[in-house]
Amino acid sequence: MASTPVSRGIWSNFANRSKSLSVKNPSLQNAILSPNLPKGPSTLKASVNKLKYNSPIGLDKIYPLAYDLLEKRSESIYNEVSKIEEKIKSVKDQSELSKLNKEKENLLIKSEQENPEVVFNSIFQTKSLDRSQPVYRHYLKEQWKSYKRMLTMQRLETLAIIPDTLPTLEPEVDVNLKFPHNNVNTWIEPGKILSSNVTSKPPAFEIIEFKESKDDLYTILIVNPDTPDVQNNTFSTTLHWALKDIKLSNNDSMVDIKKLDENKDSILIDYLPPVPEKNLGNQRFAVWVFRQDGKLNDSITKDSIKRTKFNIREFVAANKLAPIGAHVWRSVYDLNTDNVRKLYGLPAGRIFSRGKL
Amino acid sequence: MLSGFAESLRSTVVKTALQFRQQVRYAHKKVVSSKTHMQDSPGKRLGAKKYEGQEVTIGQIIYRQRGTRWYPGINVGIGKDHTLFALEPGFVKYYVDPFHPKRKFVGIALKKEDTLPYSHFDPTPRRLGKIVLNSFHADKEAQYLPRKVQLLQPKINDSLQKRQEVRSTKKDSFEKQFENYDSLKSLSSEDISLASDRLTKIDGYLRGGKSLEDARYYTTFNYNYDIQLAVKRGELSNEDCEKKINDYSKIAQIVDSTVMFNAKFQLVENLSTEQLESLKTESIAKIESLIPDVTKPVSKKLRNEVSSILEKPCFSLKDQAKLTQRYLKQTIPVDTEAASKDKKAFAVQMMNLETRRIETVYRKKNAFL
Amino acid sequence: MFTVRSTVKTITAHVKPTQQLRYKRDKAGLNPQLERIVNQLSVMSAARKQPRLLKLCDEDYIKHRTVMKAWSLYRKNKIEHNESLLEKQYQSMNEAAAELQSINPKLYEIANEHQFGKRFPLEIRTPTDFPPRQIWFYDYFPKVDGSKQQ
Repeated sequence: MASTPVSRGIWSNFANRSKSLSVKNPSLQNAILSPNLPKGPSTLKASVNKLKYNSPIGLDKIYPLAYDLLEKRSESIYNEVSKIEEKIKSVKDQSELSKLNKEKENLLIKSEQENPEVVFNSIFQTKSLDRSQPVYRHYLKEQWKSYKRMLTMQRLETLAIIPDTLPTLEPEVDVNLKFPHNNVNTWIEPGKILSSNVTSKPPAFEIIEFKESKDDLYTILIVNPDTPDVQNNTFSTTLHWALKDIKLSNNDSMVDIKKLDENKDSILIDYLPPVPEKNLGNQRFAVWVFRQDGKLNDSITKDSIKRTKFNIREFVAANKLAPIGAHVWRSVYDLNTDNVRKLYGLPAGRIFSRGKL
Repeated sequence: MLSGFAESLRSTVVKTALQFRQQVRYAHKKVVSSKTHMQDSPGKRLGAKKYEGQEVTIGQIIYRQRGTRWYPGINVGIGKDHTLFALEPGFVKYYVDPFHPKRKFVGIALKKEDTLPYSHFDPTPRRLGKIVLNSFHADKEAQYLPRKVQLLQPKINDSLQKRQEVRSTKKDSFEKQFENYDSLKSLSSEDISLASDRLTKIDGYLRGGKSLEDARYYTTFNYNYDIQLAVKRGELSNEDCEKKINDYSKIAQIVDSTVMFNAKFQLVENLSTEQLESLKTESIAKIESLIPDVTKPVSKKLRNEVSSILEKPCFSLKDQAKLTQRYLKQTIPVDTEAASKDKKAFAVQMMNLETRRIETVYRKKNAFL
Repeated sequence: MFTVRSTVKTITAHVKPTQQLRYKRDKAGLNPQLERIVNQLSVMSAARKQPRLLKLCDEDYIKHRTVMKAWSLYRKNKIEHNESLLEKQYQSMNEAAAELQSINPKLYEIANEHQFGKRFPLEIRTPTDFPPRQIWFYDYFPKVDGSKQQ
């Protein structure tokens, strides 16, 4: 059946648009850009299903019209974008400029939001999206807001990371955490209880920004608010790891050993693994991510910060850090904790009474 | 006589019928009265047992109730009959919480002058409530393991030992294979052990899903990290540490430049990424020349040759599967006409996917791999 | 109410029972064969009685989404266009009134005078885009004041 092919207008023109706005796989791209499926449904794997499959009746007739309509609208939006770009060149006022930039980004999202290729990528290829494109950031943010952000906030609140470490959090970034030094290569769900073997060496983070970011600086702190303070019969906070001035961009979002090896100055305080003492129950380890205004003050060094009885609120206020994301895991005394203590040359752990007195 | 009988019968029937119609009601009184009194039970002694500001210790009952007239607040627990009791020693406070406007709470403040609820944005005051055990009690507590862990311990030890054995056999096999590589053969026995250790760890990372580059990186990182920790413990001096790290990086360089792993985690000669690329294109071209027409049957010899090419380290498992699917099809497409002329052809029942029916098809013997 | 029983009853009203009945069943009002069908249907969950969801491959799902989006956009544009027309109409009415006021205030006053008792009758049909199915009620008589008859 011959039917009219979809138009090849602005959405097939990559002179001013990024190549990442198209579908990588040529056969899939061909399927999306033609009214019917020229080579059958290539996303169905089994040949039985392929043979059985029929496209909805009339879709091949209506799809080119729909594509054309949406593409024309996108074209008009791109014209608006070019007008704003010209305006940006002449404007010098900073607040006006940021307003125009914001408007431009919104228009760029709107222009590509309904592009079938972009929609395909942001639904089925979420792991390899080009985060420098505003549309993909928009789709990722929607996805994050629909589940991951709620989950993280729920864990932070029920485990009382808020307000035991910092008063509150308005999350702006997606923080992922894993411990890549061992063979388990999975992202950790917030609030999970991890064994001392898993946490024995420093973790890696992925910090996904949903706004445009290029070489922004970040601080990451890991604190344990459940360190026993026997003298005062209460708990204190211990700083387990502190990283500063970490440069991240939209497409370069990993904070791992490789990155830290390249700029060793960013390690403010060395990693101390969780070594809970016996009979103290689960201890919470809160990961806090902050965005910095500029470089952190040089007066803050390894010696100026005390690991024990660390006051995270004071530290954050003094350095004007803005909390933008958090994560949490829990640790408990297990059979391997003493080995980790020995590995790090820590004194043997105290043993506490079992019940509450 | 007969008529007299009929007459009497009639009169009795009429009489009885009349009797039924003229029912008489006599004066009467209900004998049993319905019971509406004496339905009381003893009091259940509900209500507050501790009042505002009263001091309590752990476990003391604060309030007995039916249902939750009062909800458990800070440091207060609730029993199965909704009895509220103290979880911490302190002072009882009855309060309302703006976050739950329809509820009343009972909480325990750690200090007498505290007001509940505690400030929403400040850290919650907490009490440790545990002491550090000394000497005898500490030893006894250190020995204690929960029953579940105790029962599991032999199993854990067993599997740890098994894992160790697997690792050591793997290490030995790597050391044996070093004979094939000149640069590894010439290493000292200590270095050989380090090198085989490295390969075992890389092998583990690869099986865990890391890329070869990452696996190598993390193996080096872990070794260096352990050495630095030894310095921290005071077992090594700074110079020793530097020397060890340098030595290890040299060995790592030799090992990485000599060997790598193929898709089936077997040791093969190391190739750079460019070399791998060129080998890949070369091998695919060779397969293409060996099997120009994929619809024709392939001899056993040719098939073995192609599969040996596919085992080259440039192909990942995914590539291998893809190329096998492409060039060494499990069954060659059905060509009934050609087969029917062949005398040696035999009938096979096959599923026709289009009609979704089983059909009898004639096939040559070499149509199957 | 819409139930399995009532539907089957209406659908199969003309079907005669094939099996001889010993006594009249007035409870169900259905013959045994149909009764069995009703029983089987009532055991089945509501989800299985629904028409099956369209199973689309990924490419067709994207196309379907695109078509739905374009359709909603098309409708939105149309509604906006109509609204803008009404807006314009209102504006020009306003302008005409203002002009009248400037030319002859007295005429304007008369035109805007409140007319007591002159209202739209309750029975008036709400204006719609299309004519109704029944154009005219031939038997209609308006209520007469004081008469109790309809």
